[in-house]
Amino acid sequence: MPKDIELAGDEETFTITVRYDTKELYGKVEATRTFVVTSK
Amino acid sequence: MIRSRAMRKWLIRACMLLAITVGGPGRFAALRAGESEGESAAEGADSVVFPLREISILDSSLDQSLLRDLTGGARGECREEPYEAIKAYPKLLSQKPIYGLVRLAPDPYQRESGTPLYFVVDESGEKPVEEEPAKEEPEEESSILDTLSSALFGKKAEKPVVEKLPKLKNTYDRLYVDLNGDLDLTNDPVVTPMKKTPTTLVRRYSGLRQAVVFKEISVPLDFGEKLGNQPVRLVPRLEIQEHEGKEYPGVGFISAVARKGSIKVGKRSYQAVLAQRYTITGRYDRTSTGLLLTSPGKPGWQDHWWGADELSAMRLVDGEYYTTSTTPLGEKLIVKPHRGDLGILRIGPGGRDLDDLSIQGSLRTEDAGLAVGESKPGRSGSLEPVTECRLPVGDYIPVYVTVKFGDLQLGISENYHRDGKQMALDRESWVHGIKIRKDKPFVWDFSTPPEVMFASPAKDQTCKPGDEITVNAVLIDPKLTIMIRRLTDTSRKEDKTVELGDGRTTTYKQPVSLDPTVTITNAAGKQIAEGPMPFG
Repeated sequence: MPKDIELAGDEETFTITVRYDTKELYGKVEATRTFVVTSK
Repeated sequence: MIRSRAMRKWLIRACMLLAITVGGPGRFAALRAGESEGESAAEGADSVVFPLREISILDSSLDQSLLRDLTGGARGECREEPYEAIKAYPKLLSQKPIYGLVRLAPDPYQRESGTPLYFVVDESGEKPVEEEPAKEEPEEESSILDTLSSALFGKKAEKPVVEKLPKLKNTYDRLYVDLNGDLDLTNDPVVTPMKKTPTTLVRRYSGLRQAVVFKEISVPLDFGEKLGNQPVRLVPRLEIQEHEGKEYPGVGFISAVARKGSIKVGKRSYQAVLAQRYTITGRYDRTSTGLLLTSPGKPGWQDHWWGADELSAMRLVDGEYYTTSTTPLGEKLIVKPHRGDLGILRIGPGGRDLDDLSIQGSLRTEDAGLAVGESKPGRSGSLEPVTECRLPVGDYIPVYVTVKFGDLQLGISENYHRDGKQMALDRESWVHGIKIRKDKPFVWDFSTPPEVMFASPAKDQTCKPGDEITVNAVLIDPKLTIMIRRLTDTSRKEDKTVELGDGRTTTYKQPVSLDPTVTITNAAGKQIAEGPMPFG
């Protein structure tokens, strides 16, 4: 995480989204994962 | 592309593994099971028992390329701080002693298993022995670079410019090993370097700063109730490499001996070497014990598939599967034909309009690894892809297979990650979901809906500004517990540039990798980073 990141409050939840385009194998596949950045 | 430089660190990287070994021919001698005593008689009438003799890795009369292949060694972990488990270390003179631990006879699927062997490497301060100039080595018939070049570009590599290697400055010259296992290193003898370093035990490269081969040690290991503790002979080797100005020490423990003999599998003759190459198993009769087979008159391994170099491999020779086993002391090798039923593994389109379907690589059961693909005579052990093949009835999981699925090419292995945990190696949760049965073909058609598993970060993992978070997501088939390691579109090509290791680079065309994209958004939904996440 950037040291100078500005948080919305004491902590902030961020969302990672991964998108695959696997063509004829499975088509498009997407998933998300959250993590939390705290200032303390 | 990733918009934030700091965010770029989050994105995952690819990896590649290559293992190549070579060996030589020999003579053949065998006993039918029943003609010998003890274990061999119990193996059954189909089994053939071959004697193996002990060889020393320090025997300079042995094939040098074979010896090089046997000297990888079990790597110990190294660190700058002493271990709390150790009650006392000897008085050390070095400003930076190298504290370490290697685990002997570990369970390959369980972390921190096996017998721990603690050690520390020290500097006496005595003047290092001057290194002798390196001798010119004869050119091998086929080098690793040639093999890699052939795989990537379909042609033999040009001979690279020979790089002048820096002289080694070996200052670490005292090794203390907890040989008696009492967690006290003050009462163990000091181990000093060999007077003359065997050339086969040191692989020179530009980043190597120190390479110290110590005198042989002997460690007692439990060989079971019948044999009790047996001495296991090891040669410790310290290597310190430098990368970007930082030095990284590594200590390997190489088995001082191996077993060698001439065998037959079916009607074919091989030279067999039974060896503890990357894991010190103590007993030879372990699944991870190495078994290298070479054909008379042909350099190199017989087979080039993952697991082919292990004792537990099930080998297909002239249309018949064979298993190999040995005794705890490794003095004989037992070859036995598989007499059970066979079934069919087939790659299917799963209702898609596809006709270019094939598979090649290796699978394994709980006990054995085996190849999928056709072994073509005269083709140096590589496997040709097949649409279907016959396998012994059983439950399988891929070690690594390459599947052609229309225009797509997939690299697939077992999924050794778990949600929120990278490299979990949690063998208990693996499903051997490729079920080969006698009466019905197993059609692998990728019809199970996939899932994305985040090995990292864990759900709602917390961090602070300045912390590094690794994003490692894998596309999995939850039913087969496999992951897609590589996915390319072979109908499209892109330029790929690689370093050849001597400062030169080369560029070639390769199929387009269908890497997923990663975006990161804040709580307000604003995107703060994005970029590709290469398969790996």
